[in-house]
Amino acid sequence: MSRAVLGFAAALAFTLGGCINEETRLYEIELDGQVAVTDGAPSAGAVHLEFHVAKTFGEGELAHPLGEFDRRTLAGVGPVRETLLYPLDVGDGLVVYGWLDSDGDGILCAPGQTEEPAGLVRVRGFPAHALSFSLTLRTPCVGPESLYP
Amino acid sequence: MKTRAATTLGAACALATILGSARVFAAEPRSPFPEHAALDAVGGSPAKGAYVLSAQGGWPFSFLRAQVGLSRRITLQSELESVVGRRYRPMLGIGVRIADAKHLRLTGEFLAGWLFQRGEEYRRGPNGELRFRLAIPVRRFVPYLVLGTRHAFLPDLLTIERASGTETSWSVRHEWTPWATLGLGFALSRGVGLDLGLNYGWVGAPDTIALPGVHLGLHFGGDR
Repeated sequence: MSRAVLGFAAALAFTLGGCINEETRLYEIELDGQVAVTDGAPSAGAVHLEFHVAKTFGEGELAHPLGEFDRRTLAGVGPVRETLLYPLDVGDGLVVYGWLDSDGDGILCAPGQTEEPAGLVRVRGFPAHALSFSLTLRTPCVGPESLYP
Repeated sequence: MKTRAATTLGAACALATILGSARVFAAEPRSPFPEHAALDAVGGSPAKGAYVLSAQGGWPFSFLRAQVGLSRRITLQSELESVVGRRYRPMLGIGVRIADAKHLRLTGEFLAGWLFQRGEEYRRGPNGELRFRLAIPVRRFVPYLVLGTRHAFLPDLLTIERASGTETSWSVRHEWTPWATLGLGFALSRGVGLDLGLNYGWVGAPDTIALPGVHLGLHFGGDR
């Protein structure tokens, strides 16, 4: 490689390195888990999962628990395997929240409708590229902020 | 005592300025100057060998600009724009005198440079602008219109840490700023001029709102 090419590459790298506007750092996680309901409870319906950072970076009141960064919908309770891209600059820790859409309306416990169970778990071992969790949906009609911290 | 002396000196300076200006106005013909600093500044493209230096202060946009005539139609120009001290655009460019008549000057300008913005929304990257200036000199007055389109390219960096290694990729966002200025220049003399203008720069169009602004400019020129 000639000096000119090296010089051009160095100049280009210097120029690009000096002009970053937003730098986004993501951490890939292969998440294996199990979603279940309590024994004897109805288990039919889709499961909506939300993935949160456990604590959002910030100072004072800006440092709050939870911060959703991704969500998925599963066909039903059972085993889960999802690949997530975790935003490293947003927060720390990993929390999974889910609820069972028993009546299929896509809304958690709309007035006059069936009570739908929800649950939350903080995934242990973060950060790691391979993690596992077990989530039981046992509390009807609650959002993640009622279950954590 | 010192206060009285300073007051007397100030009054004397003001009187001298007024008398000096009156002499300048009296000595110059009532007919329009063929070329003058105010026209070169707001209409662009000074003649070969001529130059004009401009300082335009206002809200939210302020400018420092230098133009030098390289040939009968081509001008080299340099410009620094500031937006409330948080956003800067140093630029270098070429101006071309497209049309020129006694009561009309049309100039096209192309500038390129770099954008620096600090504060809560951090931005920087290469920046270019194409604009046209239309000036209609009538005696000492020069009504003018500037229409331009500005384009900034803002590189972003994405890093993904996978179990197999780290991947890095770049992407570029485009920031468009349509621009319009409507103003009035005034020649105090051939070498000194003023202008007052209304600016309409829509930064980040069409996803944002634009705030109109105003500026007052002082221009010096020479070597015609």
